[in-house]
Amino acid sequence: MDSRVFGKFSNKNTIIHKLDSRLKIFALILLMVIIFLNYGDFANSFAVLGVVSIIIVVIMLIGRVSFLSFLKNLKALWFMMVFLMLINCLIPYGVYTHVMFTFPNGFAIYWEALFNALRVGFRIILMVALTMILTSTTSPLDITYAFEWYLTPLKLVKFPTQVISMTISLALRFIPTLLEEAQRIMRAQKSRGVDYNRGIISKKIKSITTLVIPLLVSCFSRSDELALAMDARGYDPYANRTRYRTLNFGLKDTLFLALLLVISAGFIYLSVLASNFNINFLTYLFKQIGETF
Amino acid sequence: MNVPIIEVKHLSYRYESDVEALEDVSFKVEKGEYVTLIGHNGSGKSTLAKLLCYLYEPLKGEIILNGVKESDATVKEIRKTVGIVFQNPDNQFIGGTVEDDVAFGLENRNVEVEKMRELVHEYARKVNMEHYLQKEPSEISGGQKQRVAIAGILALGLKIVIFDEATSMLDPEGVEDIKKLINEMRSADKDLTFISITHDIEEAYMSDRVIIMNEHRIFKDGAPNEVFSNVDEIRSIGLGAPFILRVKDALKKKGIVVDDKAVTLDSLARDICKLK
Amino acid sequence: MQIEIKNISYIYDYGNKETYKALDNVSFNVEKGDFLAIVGKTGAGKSTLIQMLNGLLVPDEGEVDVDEFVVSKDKKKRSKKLFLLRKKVGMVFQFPEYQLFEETVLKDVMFGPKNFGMKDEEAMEVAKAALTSVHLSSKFYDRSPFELSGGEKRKVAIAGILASKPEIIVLDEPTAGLDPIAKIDIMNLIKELHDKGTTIVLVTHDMDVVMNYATKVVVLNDSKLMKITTPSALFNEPDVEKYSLEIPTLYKFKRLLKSEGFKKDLKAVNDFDSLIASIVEEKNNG
Repeated sequence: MDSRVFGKFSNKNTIIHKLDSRLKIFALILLMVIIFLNYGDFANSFAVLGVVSIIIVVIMLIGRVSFLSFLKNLKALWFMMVFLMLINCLIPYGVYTHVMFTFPNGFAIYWEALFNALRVGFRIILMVALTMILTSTTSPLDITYAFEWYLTPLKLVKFPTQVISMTISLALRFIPTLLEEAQRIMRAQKSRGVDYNRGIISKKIKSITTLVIPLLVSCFSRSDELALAMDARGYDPYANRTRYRTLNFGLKDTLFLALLLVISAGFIYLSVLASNFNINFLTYLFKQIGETF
Repeated sequence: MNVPIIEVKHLSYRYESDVEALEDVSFKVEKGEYVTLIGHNGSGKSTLAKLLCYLYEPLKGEIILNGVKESDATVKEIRKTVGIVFQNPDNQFIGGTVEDDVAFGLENRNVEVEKMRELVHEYARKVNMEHYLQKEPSEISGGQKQRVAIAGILALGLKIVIFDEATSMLDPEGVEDIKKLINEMRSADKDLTFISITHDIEEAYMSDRVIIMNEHRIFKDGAPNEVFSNVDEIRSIGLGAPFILRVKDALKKKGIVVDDKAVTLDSLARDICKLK
Repeated sequence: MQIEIKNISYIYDYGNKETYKALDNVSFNVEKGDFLAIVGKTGAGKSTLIQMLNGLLVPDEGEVDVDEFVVSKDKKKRSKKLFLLRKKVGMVFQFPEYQLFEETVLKDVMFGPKNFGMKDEEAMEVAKAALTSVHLSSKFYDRSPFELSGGEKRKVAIAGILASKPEIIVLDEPTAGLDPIAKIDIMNLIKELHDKGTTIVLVTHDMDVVMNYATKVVVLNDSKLMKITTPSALFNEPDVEKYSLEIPTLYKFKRLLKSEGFKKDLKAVNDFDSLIASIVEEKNNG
């Protein structure tokens, strides 16, 4: 079980890695919104998604994000994607008119439904790619600090954001350790005759308890020891503390933000255009190119 | 006259479950001493270590650390004086990476960022972990994690360091590593006071002073040669005696007396061969 | 021969073309009734090796034969019911306390036997017997394993393995983290099992344990087998340090005596009492 596969942070020296993590989270959310906006008809949607894909691919190349990991991630999601697409195919959403084919019992599959399903699939793939870009170019600690920064307004209502942040950082730090411990526990239980793969439901549940209970118990005793250690090192959750890791918003971040806002504005404009007028972007574009030459 | 850096007076402690842990413990430690604390599991050693750090509050008695009486009001002072390295390397590693962990104590002290970076790099170097600053705990060994814990303590400039069986979960290489590091620390700073809770009798034999705990009380307190002089007595409370003393004692029982001054294996070997 | 290890190799694959050869062409045999110690510094391959003895891991090359069972990558050669090998070879990992999960001590010890097919009443009987053999009285039967002390928990975990009456017991650092008395306690327990006929395979860093209990020693270094010999032959070697091993204090002392001019031959001295006897003899003859 190698946690390296699923978009884990790898410390490379690219511009994307060096961007402020708060900005990257903002970009993630903004781009997701862009992906889900309504652009009118299907041709427009696919055109827009196509352009977004190119942008994402470029970012992945600059950030040296592993395509292999990306494909592995998709592989893990294939079931859910197929399921969603199938639902979209079979359950009509909106007015459908073009029939693709009809089942013997009269049930019809429409082209629109198919395109809708494909669009859903496309969007999911892009979301996975965007999330992967974030997690493989940003260390979990920096992501945690960024979240803490976003939660700062909550401090006004005395919400303990630094405590939440410390809790999340600790949890992240212990994931590999707990995974290792889980493996050790499983090895010991297997040696006692437990088979984690086979058996009826009731047996499988019992097998899982042989893993979960010792793991939980060990988590509790770990937290006792951790608390003592933190106390011994002078930790006071509610006191002011300085931060070793700092988030610096620099020139490259400003430029990136500007670029991001411009591109987003463009897409939003397209969306507004499409919902008010019945335009087809591609035909419009080709017409414009045709007219200039 | 030197004021002892630690003064423990009639200390008693009991756990919530009413399990006795310490009963009327008193002793003093001078600045720069290397004290080893030995005793079977359950004798109270670990509890004593935690009380010294004021992680628990005494039931009775008091502890005076560097002239300051330990109490809720003086916690800040205590944290500036004493640090502890626990047994489990993972359960005291708080930062997500080596540098984050060394910085943890400094963050708690509100040290500014620039100074923190300096200190983290300096002390990581002192424990030979400067090439591992961005490594996560899952990527380094137990011995390396303990080195990081020590760096964290040194970076805070603490005067008393307590090792609560800090090497008992390490492999022999890790143990050697930490022992070497402790020796370096002691030569670099003669004023650093060490208290080591250990099962390693040979380590106790090489320390300045040995305190033997038994059944929640202090059984013996003094220099290694004194404390271990009666091998049978040591055995009666379930501890082993250092090899050298066992040899001397066994030979004495057979009528061969070896010079008491021999404290290392080679000097003992020499003395035995000279006898003939 | 009870266990035959034939030219096994094992490679850990970490992805991204990062691999680590944990075992490189290792071969040796274990006879029924042996008390075998496997030593070597961390990373030498010991933990990987023992996991093949009960089929948790399968060698990338070579095979491990345990009586009628064959542990091999080759599906044709591999035993069909490798699961039963785990009954024959009881495995006690380092810090076995963490495998405890049941509501009561007795239930936890019964768990293994039940998995291997025993009915409840029979499982209870063997569980009680196993607890007795680790010197835990009936007071412990209904207690929660999580209430016990570290040493007691470890004994419960060991009892859990013993209950299935394995013919071979493999232990990885059984004395890790214990105080000296508890160490002796556990080792004596293991010795008792050995005296009753169980084959013991023990991975340890503690050379005193090797010196005092093992009849045979396998030395691994850098994933390769360096030597298979007896403890005394190993420690009497003049340059044992080349295997990255610490030698017991007793043997260090023997060397020092020799170098200071001790006349008597100390080769046969392998325990404390004979050391004292030799010194006394030398003095009386000198």
